[in-house]
Amino acid sequence: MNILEHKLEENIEIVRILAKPHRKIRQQGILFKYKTPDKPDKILDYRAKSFQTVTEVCVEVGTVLKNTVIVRCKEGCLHPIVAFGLCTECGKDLKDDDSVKSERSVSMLHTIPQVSVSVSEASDLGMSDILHQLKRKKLTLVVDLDQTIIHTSTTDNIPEGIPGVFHFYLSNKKFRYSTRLRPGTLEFLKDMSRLYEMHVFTMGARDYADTITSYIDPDRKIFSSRILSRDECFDNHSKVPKLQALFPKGDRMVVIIDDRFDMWTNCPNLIRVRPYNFFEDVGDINDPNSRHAKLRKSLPQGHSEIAQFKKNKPLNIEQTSFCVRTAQSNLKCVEHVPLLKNKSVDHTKVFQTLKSLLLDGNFELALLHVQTVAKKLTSSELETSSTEGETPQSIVDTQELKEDLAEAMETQNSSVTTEESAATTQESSSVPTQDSTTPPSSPKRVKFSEDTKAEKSLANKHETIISSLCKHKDHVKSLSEFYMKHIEQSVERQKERDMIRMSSPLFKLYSNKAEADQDRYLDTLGGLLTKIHSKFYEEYKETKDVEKLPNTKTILPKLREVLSGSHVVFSGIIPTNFPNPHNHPIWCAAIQLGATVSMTLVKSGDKRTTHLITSRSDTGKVHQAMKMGIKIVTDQWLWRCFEVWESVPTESFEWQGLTGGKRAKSRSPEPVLAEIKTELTATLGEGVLEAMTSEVDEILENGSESDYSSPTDSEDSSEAESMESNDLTGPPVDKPSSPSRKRSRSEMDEEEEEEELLSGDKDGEDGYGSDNSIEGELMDELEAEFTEQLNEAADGDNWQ
Amino acid sequence: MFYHMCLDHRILLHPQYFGPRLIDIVKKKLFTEVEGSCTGEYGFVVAVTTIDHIGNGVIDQGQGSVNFPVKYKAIVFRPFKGEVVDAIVREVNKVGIFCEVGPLTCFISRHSIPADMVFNPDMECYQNQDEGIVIQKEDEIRLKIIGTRVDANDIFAVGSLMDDFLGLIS
Repeated sequence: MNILEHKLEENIEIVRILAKPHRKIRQQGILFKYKTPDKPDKILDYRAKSFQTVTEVCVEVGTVLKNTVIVRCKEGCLHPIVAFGLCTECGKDLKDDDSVKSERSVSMLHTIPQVSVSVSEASDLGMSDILHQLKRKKLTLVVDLDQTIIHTSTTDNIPEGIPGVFHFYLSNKKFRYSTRLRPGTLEFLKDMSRLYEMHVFTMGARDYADTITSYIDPDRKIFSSRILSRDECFDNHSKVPKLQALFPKGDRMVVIIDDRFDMWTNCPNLIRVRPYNFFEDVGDINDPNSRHAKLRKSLPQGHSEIAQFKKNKPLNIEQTSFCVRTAQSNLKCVEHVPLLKNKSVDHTKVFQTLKSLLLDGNFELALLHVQTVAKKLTSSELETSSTEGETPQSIVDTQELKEDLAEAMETQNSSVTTEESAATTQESSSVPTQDSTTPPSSPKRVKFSEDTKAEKSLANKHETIISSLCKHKDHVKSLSEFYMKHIEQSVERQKERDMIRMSSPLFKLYSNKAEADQDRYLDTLGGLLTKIHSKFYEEYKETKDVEKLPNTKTILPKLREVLSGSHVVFSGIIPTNFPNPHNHPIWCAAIQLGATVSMTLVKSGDKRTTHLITSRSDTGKVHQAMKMGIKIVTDQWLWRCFEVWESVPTESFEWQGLTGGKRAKSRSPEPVLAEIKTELTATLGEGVLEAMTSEVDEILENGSESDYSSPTDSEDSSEAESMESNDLTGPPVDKPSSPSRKRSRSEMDEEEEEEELLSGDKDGEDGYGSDNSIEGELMDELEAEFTEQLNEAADGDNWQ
Repeated sequence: MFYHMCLDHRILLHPQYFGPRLIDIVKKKLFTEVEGSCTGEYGFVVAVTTIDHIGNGVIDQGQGSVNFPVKYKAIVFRPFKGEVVDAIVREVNKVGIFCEVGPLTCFISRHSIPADMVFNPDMECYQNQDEGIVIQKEDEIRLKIIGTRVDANDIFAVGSLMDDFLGLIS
């Protein structure tokens, strides 16, 4: 940028200096006003020839000698901030100017992506942000919505009234959203907002994000306007680029919590949250990779619908507001008719209270109100009826008012949801109450846009009543009766609906589930985040150097390395045909936890394998590990460690497969077996049973040996098989269906087994009781049967 | 700047409205369609004052709808570069201030705010050193428009507080 020095080649007298430091002078803007000695009467303007920024004013008002620098300016504009294609400094339209486009590519505001700032400006702003956060001892927390702190379903059948669930529609009214907050979300957010500056970053649409945050943060104290949605995101499949734009000075102070890591490639500062699932068969509704999203893309019809809606909506609102406005002005006219003022009832007041009551759905109160009004009206009827014929002006006015109102209702009805339409019908029918002293001559003008039959019949009823009112004097009474009846009906209908809702199986299912929801993951997460925060500021305290800030990207991995020193081997988890096992989620998780992973079991030395992690039973490595005495744990253990960042005790995650032909751990079927055992002992005697079990064990051991002596290549194939049943993309918590199905299968077997055992047992008892001589024979039979059963059970285990 | 102008508009009316109150409906439709709209040429139509003439309707062939040419007078608001206007602050952030001049959205960048006013992220406002002047949401400010962007159906403006007598109006 050039520095310009403004000076004149003659002696002048400066009258006024308009230029001040840092002030911008537009082209043809006045810098100062002066007089020349030649024409002392005329004040001249000194104007800038281009856009300039004043750096220095060198003189003061008064006489200035020639060639003295009066004002120093910087010429030109770097366009540091551009909003909607306009430079906010010089006001130049830059939309078609490509030369500056690359320079101002950073969009720093969450909600308004149209405002972009230049790179240098962005780093300035980023720096001031960092300084401010350090001053307040805060870090930045980026929170994902779906499946992290909430779970949302778009299926229509989720009943209302489930605790902790709220329902809403978005502007396109395409889906009914039901959202459940993760238990403890509100406390979590509140606690964290003391330590962190909270940002929302969701792959949902803008209005979805806004609606959700309005529920979880109604005062906007936690998130303020720091809400990012898909609409502002640069990339549909990664949140990283937008994050870099938001934090131009680097994300050293940023911690991310999200339930998926595919959005955050290369982000060690991500805490992967256990996905929260509440509604059945619904995953992440805003998953860009899901079928749902693809469907959304492939439906141009939906888009046109939305566009259509967008087109219609403002019109409707405008229409409604216009009609209401004219109605109000007419209402004023009514008030000004002096004759009508005599009445004991204030119409506008009655009308407004009624309207508000009905719109709130407060039918009981509205009913009471109508009754009191009716009483008042009947008492004042005598006076008003005498004035009726003499007020043609007021009739016109009130009629107009009614028409306007009816129209307002109509337009409102079309834009408001159908649920409210019942209320608006009542509302429009409540119009005659307040001016029933001047019966309308043409009742047919009440039109209803609703297509439901009930609504139409209601309108008909309404009409007949109004026409009858014209004839009869006691119209007020019947009218109020009608309203009473109608209001009662709607109250009853509401109750019925509630009853139906409460008795639906889905309602029961979800409300039970909501009560039994034991997900306390956010508590653990809160603890983790507090730890990270204190660690960061401990490190910062040592240096106190803004240039050498501690980095969450190094703090987090350090804190996460809870399994350092462990050497793990996977078996039956990563399929053999997986291109690069190092990229498998579970492998990455283990590495991030600080464990070392090897392909084969190591017997001794520094790298002695500490844990064998498996999800299947009959792999060669499992048996090898069993012989070597290495701990065998399920993959759940590793994921648990990964969630809580602690070395979780392995006891409850010990692999529950075969250990020497017996179940390693007692699970639910075990007590049943124990029961059978005691029963058998009672009937057969201890010694017999012991002999039996030892025999069975022997057989099983032999069987297992022959089963498992298969060469390693067969193990590989079995591993490959497991890949089909196992979830590849993430930990099993993501899709619990496969393990749970397996478990249920084995449980089923056990149940069968138990049944058969019991029946066999019965036979034995009968035989035993009747004849002693056939005891031996029976014993053999029983024994055989029992071994068979146990063998089957063993087979069942083999599947597991 | 506000102008009182003669404008034209065409009202397309569906046959369902054909009846004794046809002209009333045409008038109502004009109000709803025109008021609050924005054209790049004339700016925002604030209010229709008089309807001068409703021409003969022409039936659309094949549609059955009728086109009424309407001449009306309206107050329009057209922002200009250099104009000084009063606005209500809608949003304050580190980059600047968003405010509304009636229907017009206007942005004031932080560089166009006097240097002694600094952004306070805790309260989301701009304030000077002794906190004597605070500009926050819902405040009324006076600004100078330094640039406008005029599209076919929208106008956007950028403003500045860097001049005498601009800033918070109390």
